[in-house]
Amino acid sequence: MRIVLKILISLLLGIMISIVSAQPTTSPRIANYKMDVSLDVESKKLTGKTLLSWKNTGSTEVDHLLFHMYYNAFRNTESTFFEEGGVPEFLTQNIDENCGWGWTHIQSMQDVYGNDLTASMRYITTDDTNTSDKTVLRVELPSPVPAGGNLTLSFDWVAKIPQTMPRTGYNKEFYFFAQWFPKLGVYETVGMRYATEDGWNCHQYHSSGEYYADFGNYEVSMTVPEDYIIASSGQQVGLEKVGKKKTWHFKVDDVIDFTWSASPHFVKKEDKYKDTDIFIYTYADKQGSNERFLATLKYCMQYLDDVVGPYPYPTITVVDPPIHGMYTGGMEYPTIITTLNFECLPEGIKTPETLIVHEYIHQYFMQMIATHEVEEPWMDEGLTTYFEGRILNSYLGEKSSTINWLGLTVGNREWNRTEFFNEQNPMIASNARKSWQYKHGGYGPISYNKTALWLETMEGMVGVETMDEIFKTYFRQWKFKHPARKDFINIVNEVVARNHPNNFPEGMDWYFEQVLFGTGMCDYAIGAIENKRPQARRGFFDDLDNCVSEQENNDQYISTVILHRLGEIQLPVVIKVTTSDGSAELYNWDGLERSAEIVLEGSSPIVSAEIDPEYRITLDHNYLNNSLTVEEKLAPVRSLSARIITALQHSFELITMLI
Amino acid sequence: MSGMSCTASYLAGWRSLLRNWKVLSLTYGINLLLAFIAVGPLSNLLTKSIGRTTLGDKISSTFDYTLITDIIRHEGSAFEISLAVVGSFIMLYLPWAVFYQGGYMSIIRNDNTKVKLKEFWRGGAEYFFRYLRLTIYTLGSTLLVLYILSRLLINKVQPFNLDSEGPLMTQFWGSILVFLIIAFIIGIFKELAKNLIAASDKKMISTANLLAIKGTFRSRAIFLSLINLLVLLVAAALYFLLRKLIGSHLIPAIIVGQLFLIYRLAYKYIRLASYYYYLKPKPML
Repeated sequence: MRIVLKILISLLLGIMISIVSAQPTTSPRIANYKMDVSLDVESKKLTGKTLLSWKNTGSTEVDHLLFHMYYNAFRNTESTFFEEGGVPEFLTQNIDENCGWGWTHIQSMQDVYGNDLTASMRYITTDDTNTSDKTVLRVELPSPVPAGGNLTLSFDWVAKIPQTMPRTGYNKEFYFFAQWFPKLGVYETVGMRYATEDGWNCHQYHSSGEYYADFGNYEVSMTVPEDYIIASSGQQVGLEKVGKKKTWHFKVDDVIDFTWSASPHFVKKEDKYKDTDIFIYTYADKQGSNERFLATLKYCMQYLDDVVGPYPYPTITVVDPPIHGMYTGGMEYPTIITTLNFECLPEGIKTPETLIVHEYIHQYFMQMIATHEVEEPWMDEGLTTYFEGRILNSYLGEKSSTINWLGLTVGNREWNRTEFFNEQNPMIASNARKSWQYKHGGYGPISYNKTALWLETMEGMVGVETMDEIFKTYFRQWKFKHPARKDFINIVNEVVARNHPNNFPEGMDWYFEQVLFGTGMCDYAIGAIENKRPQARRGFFDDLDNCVSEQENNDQYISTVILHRLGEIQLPVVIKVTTSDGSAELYNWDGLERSAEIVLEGSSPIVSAEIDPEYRITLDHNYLNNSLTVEEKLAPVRSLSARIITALQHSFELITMLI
Repeated sequence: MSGMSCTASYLAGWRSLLRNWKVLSLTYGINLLLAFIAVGPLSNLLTKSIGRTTLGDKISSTFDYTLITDIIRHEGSAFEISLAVVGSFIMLYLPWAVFYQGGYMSIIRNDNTKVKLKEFWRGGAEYFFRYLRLTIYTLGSTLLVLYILSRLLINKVQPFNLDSEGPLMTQFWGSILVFLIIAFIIGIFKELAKNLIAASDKKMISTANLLAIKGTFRSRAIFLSLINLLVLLVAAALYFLLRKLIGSHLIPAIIVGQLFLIYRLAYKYIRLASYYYYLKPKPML
């Protein structure tokens, strides 16, 4: 009986163990950090101890490591970050008074066997030849890490915190720590993204693009003066008071980074969305926007839950920085985002909503799907901007989601379209460039706005349901896996070909070739409308002795609409043709040739023709030539002119108040 | 320096306007004509851009950011020229406003009689240069105040040195309040000065200005200005309320807009006239 019992217990245990071990960890957890850091607010320094455990997922042994030393970008004006012009002058104009420059330095490094690796450390450059840049550190390993092996390192480091540098640093008693600790690069293995052999991917810190890191678990303890309050990635798991200091313990799993902020003036507001705790940290005088933040964030979380996939983390933290900390506003980090809000702005200016939505969406593309923002910025910023437009337009209205103030209304997608087309040269580069390669401009308009425009245009062609299916599939297949553009394209092709076998049987490669890899513009136009009577038969036909002279048929028209493709981009377009009897028909044109025509015969002449009547092709850079009417329609112009005249009359009288 | 009560002066101003309504029609007509001419190029541009499209209905009733930015982007040069024309007419309106206030003054000074329009033209010409100088002084003073306040404010706008935006906003609204008070005081001074300049035969306006400065701070002068301002504010509130109720209906919106404009022109006349009657029994010069 006892043997049977033992067998049963063993079986039960075995089943339990197998069930537990079968539960997949949510991410590969390749680089895991335990850090103890201490903030000295007098010297503006951080002192840290890091215990790093890393797994070699490659098929060959690894004999060296590459670390990001981000804070060295702020060491002096000769870093690559500064040379690329990544620091606006207004940020640095006062920092020389306090020597607000920053740096980071690893003081000592040991492996678990006690080998001291400090002597083998040296700064290298991976993207340029700027030897003054010290943002990548190479560390030689005395004993290589075998394929599939693990490495544990401990290192002590110290960082001088910069003052008011982009996204990070301190000002007054506000501290924000982003890209702040020595962080391992990504060891890309064959088949991952574009890797044809195993090797490190560790770029210097450029002024545009930040994120690419392995997933891991973070346990971070921060010791700060006792009156300081900490807002951080992850969950607070402990708090100890030691003398006049407090040590805050935070933990977060399956993330690519860890970010935190500290200030004695933070006021915390808590709420909940499903199982996720929402924390908002702001200063006392800025709490007026908390309800706006919460309502927007919850709407956004629900939207993305429905359309992309569930947010799996137990917390999301929002930091609304004080006015002197605004250089950290509008940023995204794992499970923590920052907004940028001015209480003085009227409620009709939707900046708080826009930033909350934008930065939260990054939790999906920057954090969970975790594409390489430095090498393929559009995959993060562009996809985020596309969803920003969708969510804000759904939340606040298509024509009023960016500004809705004193009769001035601007929708998010409208704003986005203008941002791209108002760029000095929107054709300056394709989306396929790395972030720092937009040397002569265009990084923002192309990575953010153009991508959103061509995704919106694709939505117009394949429908919003197909787009949702694309993003659901993309999230399900590539969460925690660092996809590259080919992976996104493959999913688009697969879903589109399945859902639209007649229109796009081969998927959308033809489209990506133009919009992602190309620089051409899209512009379709109605060239002309002609309404003619059918030509009456006159002259000699079969019988050379009989001169025919038929009467014209005055009841019939042969009407022609001439279509033009003025841009390089070729898309299928829909044309709405309206005839004098009020009926309207839709026609399709593949949009390939430079011109085409629609010919109609009937008793009603064409009165107007309109390409893309529902404005689905937001990539079309000129809507003014999308439609044409046979007769001039002056009534709308007159009514608009009348309004302008009235406004001008009042302006005249406004000026005379000075007299 | 004062005769009639404030209310009586104000009502006398209205009576003077009603007697001389033609002068109001004239200034309104010229205002409309200038606006009509100024908008011509812009109207042509709109006709060219959207006259033969299906976009007109989108843009005529509501603000459409996409279409407006497309017009600006694709018709940039024409749009800039059109705006420059509008700007030029606004500048042109300044001397005209100086002129017509001289004309108003001349008609007001004919007291309780119905005056022919030629008096308007004669008065406008007679007082033009003196009122122009007065305008330069008051405009200069207003701009100086604005400059000082904005400098004080801008010096505070160093966001990285601010603990909070609260004090900055308090300072901003405080500056607006200070400016409005100073503009209000300058406004009283202007009306007094215009009357005193007209009452004087001298080409130099410094004596009249000094007397006007003295009179500006009298409680009745301030009260009279407040009556004028209060009625204007009531009219403005009524206008904005009606505009909101009317929404995007074109004809009613334009009618209400024109009525409010006529009142604004009338306000200038009544204000000037009310100070005339306020000063009348004991003219200083």
